[in-house]
Parts: sequence; C-alpha cells; structure tokens
Amino acid sequence: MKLLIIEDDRSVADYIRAGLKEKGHGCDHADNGKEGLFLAMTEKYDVLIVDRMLPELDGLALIKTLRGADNDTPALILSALGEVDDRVKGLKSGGDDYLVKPFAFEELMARLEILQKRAGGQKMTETKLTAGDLELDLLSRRALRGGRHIDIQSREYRLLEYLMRHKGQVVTRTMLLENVWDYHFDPQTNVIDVHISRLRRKIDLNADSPLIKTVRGAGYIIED
Amino acid sequence: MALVFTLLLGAGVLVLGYFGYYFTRDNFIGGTEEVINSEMHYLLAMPPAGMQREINAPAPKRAYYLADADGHKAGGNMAALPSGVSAATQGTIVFETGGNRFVGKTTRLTNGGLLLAAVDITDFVAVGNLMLVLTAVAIVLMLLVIFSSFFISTFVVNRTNRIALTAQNIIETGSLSQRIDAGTGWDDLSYASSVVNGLLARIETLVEGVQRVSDNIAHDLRTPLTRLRNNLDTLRKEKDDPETAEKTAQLIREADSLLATFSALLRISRIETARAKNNFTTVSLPTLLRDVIELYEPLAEEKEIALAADIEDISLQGDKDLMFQAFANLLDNAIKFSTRGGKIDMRIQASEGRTLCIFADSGPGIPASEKDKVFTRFYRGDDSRSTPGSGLGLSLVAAVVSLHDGSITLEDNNPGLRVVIAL
Repeated sequence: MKLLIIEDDRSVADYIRAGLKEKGHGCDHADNGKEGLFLAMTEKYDVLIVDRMLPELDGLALIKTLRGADNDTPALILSALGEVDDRVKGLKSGGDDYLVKPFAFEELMARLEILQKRAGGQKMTETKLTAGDLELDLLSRRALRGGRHIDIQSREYRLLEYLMRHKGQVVTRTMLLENVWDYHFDPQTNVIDVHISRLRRKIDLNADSPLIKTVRGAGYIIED
Repeated sequence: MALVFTLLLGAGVLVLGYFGYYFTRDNFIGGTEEVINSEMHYLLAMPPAGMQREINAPAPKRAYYLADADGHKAGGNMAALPSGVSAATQGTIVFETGGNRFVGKTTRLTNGGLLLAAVDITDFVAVGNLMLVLTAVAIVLMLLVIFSSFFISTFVVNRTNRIALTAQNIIETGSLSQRIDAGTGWDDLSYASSVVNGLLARIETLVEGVQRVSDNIAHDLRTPLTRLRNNLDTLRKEKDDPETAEKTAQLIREADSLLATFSALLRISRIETARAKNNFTTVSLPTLLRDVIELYEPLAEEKEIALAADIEDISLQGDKDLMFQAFANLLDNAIKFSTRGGKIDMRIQASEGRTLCIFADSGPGIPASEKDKVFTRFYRGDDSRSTPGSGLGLSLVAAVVSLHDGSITLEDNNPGLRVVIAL
C-alpha cells in the first residue's frame, strides 16, 4: 500500500511511518494542509491519513477540496476531538473513517486495510461467506461448521458476518462496536471480549483449532 | 399588568370628573341658599323702616324686591319680579336680570306681602364654568395618559418578555450566539437589550475560551501522552525479552487508562458546555434499552445475575449514542456492584407526563451520606475503590441526563440501589 500522512505532529507522523514501514508499506508525509493537498492531488495513493487540525489548511477542508475535484482516494481522519458530532462532521465532509487520538497502531492499521479493500471495489453480492470449514449463508442467515448447523442468535450472526467479511484482516473492538452494535460509545468493561468468547464457544465446539484468534493489543481475526 | 394600571387610572379619572361636577353645581347653589336664608331671617327680624333702608340700598351683589299684599312694588332695588316668580314659588329660584345671574328665595310676609332676596352669582357661575372646562381638560389629559401608558406598558412587557424568551432559549439550547433584537435604540429597553447582548457576547467569548482551553488540553496534553504510549509500544515490539515485554505492556495499560480517564473528563465537559442538541433524533427507548441489555447480557450471565426488564413503548427526542452510553454505564455499574446470583430490574414507564427509566440492583447500594457526592467527578465510594473504574461513569450519566433536560435520583432498593431517571 502507498499512503500519505498529513499530520503536523512530527512524533505522531513518525510513529505511524515507522509502523507502516515495518509492515512493508510505503508512505509520504506532509506537515501542513497545503502541501498535503498538493501531494494528494498530484500523486496516486491507496489511503490518505489526514489530521483534523492542520496549519495552512484544515483537514476537513482539504478532504472537501479533494472530493470536489473528483478525487476519491479513501481518507481516514485523525483527531483529538472525539465527540460524535465531530465524527459526523468529519464523515460528512467526505472522510471515510474517523479515528480518535490517541490510537494504537494496530487499530489504525486494521482500519487502513479495510479502507483499501473497500476502495478495491469488490462489492460483490455474495450469498455465502467461508472461513476454513465454517460457512455463513447470507440468505438464510445460517452458520455451518463442517456441515453441522450452529445455532446462533442474530447479534452473534452479525458479529460473525463482520469478522468473515473481513477475513484475514484484524478487526478491533471499537470497529466491532461501531459496525455490529451501531453505537458510538465507550464501554467501561470489555463487553466485546465476552461476546467473542461466547461466539467462540459455539463455533469452535468439537473443533480442533479455534477459528477466531485474538491479536494481542489489537483485536480479533478470522482466518481460513 | 398593563390592564391593571389602565383600570386604576380610569377609576382616578372618574373620581376627578365627579368631584368637578359636584363642586360646580349643587355645592355652590346649596351654599348660596344658606346665605340667603340667614339674610332673610335678619331682614324679617328688623322693623319695616330698617328693612326698607336695607333693601333699597343693599350690600354689593345683593338684590331685593318687596311687594305688598296687592302685588305692587313696595321696595327693593329690583325693578320688577322676574318672570315666573310668584309668592307660590318654593325653594331657590335661579333667574337672570340685566345680564347677571341670581339665585334667590321668596318669603311670604305677615302683612300678606312678598319679599324676594337674591344673590348675584354671575362670578361664581363663571368660576364654576371655568372649573368645568378645566376638569374636562384634565379628564382628556388623563385619558391620554391612560392610552399612552397602556401602550408603553404593553411595549415594555413585550420587550421584557422578549429578553426573557431569549434568555430562556439560551438556557435550553445552550447556544450562546443568540441575541436580543435591540430595536431602534431610542428607548431605555433597547439600551438594556444591547447591554444584555454585550454581556452575552462576553459570556460567549469566555465559554469559547474555556472550550478552546479544553480542546487545547485535548490536543496538547493528549498528544504527548499518546507519544509516550506509542514509544512504549515501539519499545515492546523491539525488545524480545519477555520480562521487559510484560513490563512495557503494563506501562501501556497504565497510559491507556490515563488517556481513557482524560477522554472521559473532556467528554463530560464538552457535553456540559456545548449542550449540543443537533444530534437529537427520535430515540426509541425500548430498542435502546434492549440493545444495552443484549450487549451486557453475557457479562451478567458470567456472574449469574438475572436481568429483568419491563419496558413501555416510549420514544423521545435525544442523542442516541449518549443515551446508550448513559444506560450502558448504569447497567455496567449495576453488574459490577451486584453480588453473584443477584438481580437487576430495569423499567421504562410513563408517569405523570414524564418518562421514568429505572435501574434497580440488589448490590450494596449507596449510603445516604454519599448519595449527592457520587455524581461528582472522580468520586469513588469506599466500597468501589477496589473495583476498576475512573469515578467518572455517573458524572457522565448526570451530564447526559441534564443535556436531555431530565433529572436523576438515587433511591434505596432495600437492599441495593435504585437509579431513577426522569425525562
């Protein structure tokens, strides 16, 4: 992936850059809005990481300008402002995802990968998702493990569906809360973990290897 | 108010009008009658010669006419009896001779004659007329005062109402950018309005300042904290030594909880100062509460706590995410403080025009002495110090409830705690 970081805080930018480099992704860095806009308009990137508060040109204005110029490169907004209102404003101005500082690099990485995939445009109307010998029938909303029917509730189904739609990608707890529960809030306890372990008990019953794996410090992943 | 004022003034005018009329008419004539009566007494008591002398050359403004038994003139300074006056005329007579106006009285004499004694009241009448005119003018002026005061008072009331309405609006919406329409600026109230507007502008600047400061805290203090956390993260990845890894992981957790506390604090201040209602939509309370319950059910199951809900179908205007957060915090607390095998009762019901959301648990409850403190930021009860948490959960709930113009009370559930939110 080739990324552009538009962030005026040197240390945050370095932190992201070091992490991306480690994962083998190339990236450019701009420390003000004007330069960032120039780079985003002239170069081709997979995903933009845009800080909200930038010198010269504000992050939201930058994204608006890009969208106005028919540039659809997915953009992830970084911000110290975490209120829902700000999030809504950020997404309305054309941002594709919104991440509140401070964030763990794993959270950012997971989101970047999903943005890149989404932009890849494989929006097929699938009727079935698979991971290993686990099958999820999207039409009948049923789950099968090795041909055996698993009895799951509707929220567990949505949880599993989200994990399987992003097979091979790390999905963080915040992403699950936002997408499976559809609420932006801050749980005081690790409720998500309890839901995952419940789901695990159901799908991994009598199986040799667990399908849903915990990624330390990041979240969960489902793989073949 | 305006009406009461007008009515009082109107009553005043009536009293004044009656006063003027009364004094110009009856009182004058009545007073004059007394004078004539005493004069008559005095004349009749005199010997005829003395009386003749008196009535032929009378005091100023007096007129007399004396007739004998046959009706011929026998004395007095008047040429003839005024027309229509005879011996039979009783009481006071008002008549005019030589352009002057008189009030008089007749008396039958013992010799069969008739005596008319009169007083010239031309001057009195003139004064009386003048008084009538003045009274009329006063009444007209008073009426003018009534109308203008009515207009002024309605105007004042309108303007003060407008000021009050704007203030009320600001309290309700929290939008300090509203201003009172100051109007033309010629009257005292538009001056007052512009002063209040100035005050509002000042408050707005200050609140913006506070907000900027907290935003700056968010930006300037959280950023170095994040940097610290991120560097620890890098360190953890670089070192393969398991002992260092465990220690750095612990440091990262510490930094994360510090950052989380910080975010929660900022969030509460933002909810309280911004009072932003632009995210308000119609929120279905049953859906919301069921989602919260569904989210926390596995957690409750682990502790073998029974969740029971009795929910009426009520929707209201609110911020979905914040209300979810508030309900989640309450249920989270209830689960956290309930003992294994406990019971949590949740209820949404309409009561006297308000919506009550009740969370009742069977935990240790909160002692009465601590009840008003638990909403204070960072306050943690003695029983809860050992449990994880920041002491901000209930403060956040209180901020959310206040944003929705609701109230929150803590009651005893005997045993346990009963949180009642009235919206």
